[in-house]
Amino acid sequence: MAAPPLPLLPGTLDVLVLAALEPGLRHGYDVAEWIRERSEETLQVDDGALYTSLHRLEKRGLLASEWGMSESNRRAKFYRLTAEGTRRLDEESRSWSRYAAAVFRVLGNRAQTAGT
Amino acid sequence: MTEPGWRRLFRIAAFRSDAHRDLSEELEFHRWRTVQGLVAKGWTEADAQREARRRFGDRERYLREMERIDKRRLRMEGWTMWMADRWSDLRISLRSVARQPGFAAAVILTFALGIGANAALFGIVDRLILQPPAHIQDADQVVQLEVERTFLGRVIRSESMAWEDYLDAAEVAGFSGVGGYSSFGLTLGEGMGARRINAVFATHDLFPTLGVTPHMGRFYGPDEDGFGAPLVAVLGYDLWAGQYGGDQGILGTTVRIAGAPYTVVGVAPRGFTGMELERVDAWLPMRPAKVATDGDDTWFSGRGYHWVRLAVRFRDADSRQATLDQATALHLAGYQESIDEGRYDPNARLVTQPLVAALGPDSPPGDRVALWLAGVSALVLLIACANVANLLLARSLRRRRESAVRLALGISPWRLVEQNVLDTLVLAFMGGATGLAMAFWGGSALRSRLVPDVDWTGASDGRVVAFTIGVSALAGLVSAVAPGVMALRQRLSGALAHGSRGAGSGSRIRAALTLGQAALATLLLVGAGLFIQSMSSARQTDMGFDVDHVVAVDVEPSSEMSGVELKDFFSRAEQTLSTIPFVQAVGATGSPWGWGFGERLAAEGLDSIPRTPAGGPYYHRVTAGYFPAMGLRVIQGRGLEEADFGGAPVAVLNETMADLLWPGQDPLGKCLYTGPGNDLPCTQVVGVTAYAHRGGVVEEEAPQYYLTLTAQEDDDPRALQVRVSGDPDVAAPQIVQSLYAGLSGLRHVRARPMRAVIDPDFREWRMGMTVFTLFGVLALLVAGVGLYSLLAFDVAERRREFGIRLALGASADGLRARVLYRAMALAGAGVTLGLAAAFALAPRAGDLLFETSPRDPMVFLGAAAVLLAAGAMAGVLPARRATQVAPSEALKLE
Repeated sequence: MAAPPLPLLPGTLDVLVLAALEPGLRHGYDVAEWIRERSEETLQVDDGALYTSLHRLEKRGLLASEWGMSESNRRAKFYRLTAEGTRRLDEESRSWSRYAAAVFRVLGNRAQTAGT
Repeated sequence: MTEPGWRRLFRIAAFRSDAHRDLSEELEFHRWRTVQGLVAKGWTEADAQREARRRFGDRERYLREMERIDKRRLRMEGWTMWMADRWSDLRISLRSVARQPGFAAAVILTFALGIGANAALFGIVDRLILQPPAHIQDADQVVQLEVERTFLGRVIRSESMAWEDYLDAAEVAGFSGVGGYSSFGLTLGEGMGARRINAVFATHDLFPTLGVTPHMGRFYGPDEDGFGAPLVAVLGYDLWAGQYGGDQGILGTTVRIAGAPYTVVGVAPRGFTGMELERVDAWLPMRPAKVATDGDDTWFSGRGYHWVRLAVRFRDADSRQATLDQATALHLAGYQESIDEGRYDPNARLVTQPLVAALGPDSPPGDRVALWLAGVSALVLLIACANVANLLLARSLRRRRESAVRLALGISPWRLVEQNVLDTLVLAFMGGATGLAMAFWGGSALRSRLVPDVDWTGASDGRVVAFTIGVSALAGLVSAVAPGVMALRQRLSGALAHGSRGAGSGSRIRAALTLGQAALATLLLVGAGLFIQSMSSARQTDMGFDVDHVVAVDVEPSSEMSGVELKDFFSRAEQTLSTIPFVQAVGATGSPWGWGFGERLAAEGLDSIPRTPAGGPYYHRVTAGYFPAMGLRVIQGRGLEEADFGGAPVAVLNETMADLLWPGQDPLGKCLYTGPGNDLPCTQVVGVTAYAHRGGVVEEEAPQYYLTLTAQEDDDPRALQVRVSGDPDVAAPQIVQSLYAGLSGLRHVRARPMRAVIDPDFREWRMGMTVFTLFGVLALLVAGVGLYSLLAFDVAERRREFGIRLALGASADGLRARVLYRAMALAGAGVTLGLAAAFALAPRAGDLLFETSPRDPMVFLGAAAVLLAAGAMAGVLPARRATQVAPSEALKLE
């Protein structure tokens, strides 16, 4: 019944990952689940792409990682936002909202009706 | 972190396999959770596994990417940590500098002196020897062509060739470019505002050969370099900026050079000096300009005048020799007539002189002196490093307790060494920066004193800075060796013991360093002494005329004159000069200082004139006042007198010529036959003079003779020699003024005391003397301070011992004597070593000296005396301190 999942536009995955980590310390599986649920299965993300994004963001200093115990008592790698990461999340969210709003405006009625 | 960051850097390799393991574990966890979640929703295990793999995506690609990302991250982190460690080390070093400012200042100053001296000299050596002249493209393809031939049994190389030789070279296909050039001093402008400039006559093809582009306008082309072409000129940058204020509208204006009008068509780029290093004020097209200056084209006809230097660029690097052979063949063909007559060497050949001066035996002596100076300044740096090492050792010895404790607490000895080395490097760079500032500030003074003619604007400061950085690093590392070795050999037990004595390997090294400094200082002082001796001998050389009372005067008439008109002009000049009260005698000559003319000559009773290696015989055509003006010493017969002018031709020979023509006989009354043609009248010899130098302080004695200059001969007068009572430096400007006032038709006058005229010859000895003395004194100071600090440290270390001795009844004088004895022993040993080194090395400098034996005993003794005196002075204060210890206080020290 739901429309087929859409591939992500390049660059959006990083914002989503940052947003996923806003609440706090999370491991990669949680992040994947969070995105899937929140987008109601609309967005299609390769797990491999997700982890690549996590590593890339860590390299850029937007995330910090540490090893810890998961709920199931297995070792897992947890990520959290750094101060720089939080700042970038705010920036990107704002940009995204403006972008999406602009696209919506241009498309006008078409966008509204296609939403159902 | 006690562990130096270096280790961490090396451990990154280990990290990499850890990183791989971590990644696998992370992804495995994800796969496990995914499968778990699916199974919980009812999937079968197998389906769940498959779904998990599908959801992951292209595993290979993602894994590769992530590994790449991780590697880069780890590398960056490793670097950051390493940098953070180095930064904290640096801060520790800077703090220790601030904590002991006195010590730091001493070290920095020592480094500054050593490094600064090297930087200053490097600038000079670099410009003179290492770098080609500025603005030449691919300078290694450009060379100067010279002729090497055998003349009277000796092989000589001449840079200057005939005009026709240039034309021959231009035809050789193997040269992609040929240019001819020749520099002359000419007058710019007229009257009181006129000035002497260094003008270069250059063929138009010189500029494309060198590959230089003008700063403004253009260089002249082939049309403008033809006989009879309208005169154009290219101004040198400094002349344009200075004399003409950098006038942007200079192109198209006219300047008067040697009386002829030249239209300015361009300005040369800053620092362009052609193939040489002297500043060039104007570039003039060779053909029309030389003809205009001389009034005729004599210098372009035949191959008798050698005045053109050739610059050539090779088309092809591989066929250089073949090209040279071809050029040689052409050259020899041009001189065939002379070869057939036996006057030219049939084996003569064309050879090349590279732009960057050769360092071999053919290199000009000025360059070799520059190299010597570089060696000297390296020595001074060595002394400075030894001094710093000494100071550092002293400090580390003082701190050996503290070091021992740190070692006991677990710090690795390498860490101590690293800190020491870093401290020293920091001080070295601070000293280097100070030294560089000193070099820039004092460098221009040094250059203008040592090598005044060279144009320094093309020199590269960047290279000097790079050199200074390198030398500072080297100096720091060298200075840190001895203390570093000491730090590594720290023995815990010995250092922690109470009241440890100062003896041991530490103070032995320090004594050795001080000894080395004293030896080097002695060596430098010997060098200074030798050059001072040379300079003084050179200055006292008997030139054969009265150098201290003669002023050389050049007068230039404002219109072209020759023959009778010119002679009349000169005789009016002589008259004007005679009216000046302090002028005692005036004479004119056709061959001023440095000039020499030969002519067809036959002598009574001889089939031909014997040849000498010094060349000649050279003749001087002079007026009546010449002999009294110059103060030539007549040793037989008489000089030229008034009566000789207008009567039968007479000649006065110099003793060399008299010995050459008629050895053992009386030359008076014999006949010379001068000039071309047959049936020549007898020019009777009426006198013989002592040898008078013709063009240099050091020259081979050449046969010369003096003839009358009257209206009859073809020879022109060229300069006036004026004898003055009183100081010639004061007289010269007055002479100039009087001539401008009293002589009509005068374009330009230049008057210089003869001392100034011959001065350039002294340049090398003056250079050697200045630098060796400067550096010798420097080295002496540094060594003296080193000796003082060594003794002072010793005395401080042994305070307890001295106190006990005094308490037990030792005499204060005895103690003082002990300290002084130590000082003299060290100084004496250093002197001995230094003298031995000087004895061995000095003969190498033999040909740089003038009439001074390289092993002159007075110089050696003098240097030794100076150093021993310095040693005694260094020991006085510590000796006094040694006896100022109150015994009770000394006993209390632990």
